[in-house]
Amino acid sequence: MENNIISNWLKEHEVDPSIRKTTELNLEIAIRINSILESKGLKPVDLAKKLNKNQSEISKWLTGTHTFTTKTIAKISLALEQDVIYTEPKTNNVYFTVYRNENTNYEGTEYQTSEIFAPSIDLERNIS
Amino acid sequence: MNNFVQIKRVAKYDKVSYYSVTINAEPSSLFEQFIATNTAINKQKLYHILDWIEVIGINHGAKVHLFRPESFLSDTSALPPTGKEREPTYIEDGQTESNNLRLYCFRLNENVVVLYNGDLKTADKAQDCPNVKPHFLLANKITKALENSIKERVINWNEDCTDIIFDSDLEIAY
Repeated sequence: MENNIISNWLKEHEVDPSIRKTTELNLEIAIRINSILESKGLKPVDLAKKLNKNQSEISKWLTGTHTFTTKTIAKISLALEQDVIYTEPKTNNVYFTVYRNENTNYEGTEYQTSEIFAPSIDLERNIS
Repeated sequence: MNNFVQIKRVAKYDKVSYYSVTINAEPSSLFEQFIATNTAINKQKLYHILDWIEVIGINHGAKVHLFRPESFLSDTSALPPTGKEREPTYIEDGQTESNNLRLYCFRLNENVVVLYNGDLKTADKAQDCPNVKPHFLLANKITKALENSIKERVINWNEDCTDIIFDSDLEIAY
């Protein structure tokens, strides 16, 4: 395996793991804010105006070196009209395919229209 | 005799390949010298910078807003980044401290970064700081030479511009 002197050094000199996690979160939030700005065609100066802040402060936020409070994140989300961070409900998606047995007699079967089962073959959107 | 550098890869992550350079066939690269010096005297500040480099390499790529522009003769950058007129901060013993340790680098694109050497910055401008001035000037000179090598296709990009290709014995004068 190729020598990686950065990872090797960090392993050898590991300090409080919360520092690493803080670095990761600060960067994630900065990247997210930058991405929202780009998607809305906004510049950091626009965010500065919306929040009545100096542009230098916004620039620092975007470098990922700033540790955000939830209050600041809330204000940024409101200014950008988009959530900077969000929690997703835990869901398990189950995917399955429905086949109709051509040999089965469906006469007398009651069907309901289903918008969920969108068949990729010529099968009516009906479930029984 | 002309001075020359040779390129040496120091780390590779999913999003970024990090390189450094050795000068006049010295055994250790500028970045290895940076680590050796600062492990002894600025370990926490060094940890902050290396941790940053690794997180960028694994998760984000070397996006331009994550670097501090330090161009003089060429497109040199530095780490850690900061906003205008503000020192970057890091956590030491549970307290937020400013990090005045500078690592000069050349960000070729989001996927390739060359790391040089650096030191503690004690003045607003790199040219006015006796600690970082030699590293800042050297970084700019080497970056200029690397930029020319790319223009002259001595250093080439791979197909999707995610890494550079060069002869293992390539020597670049600066």
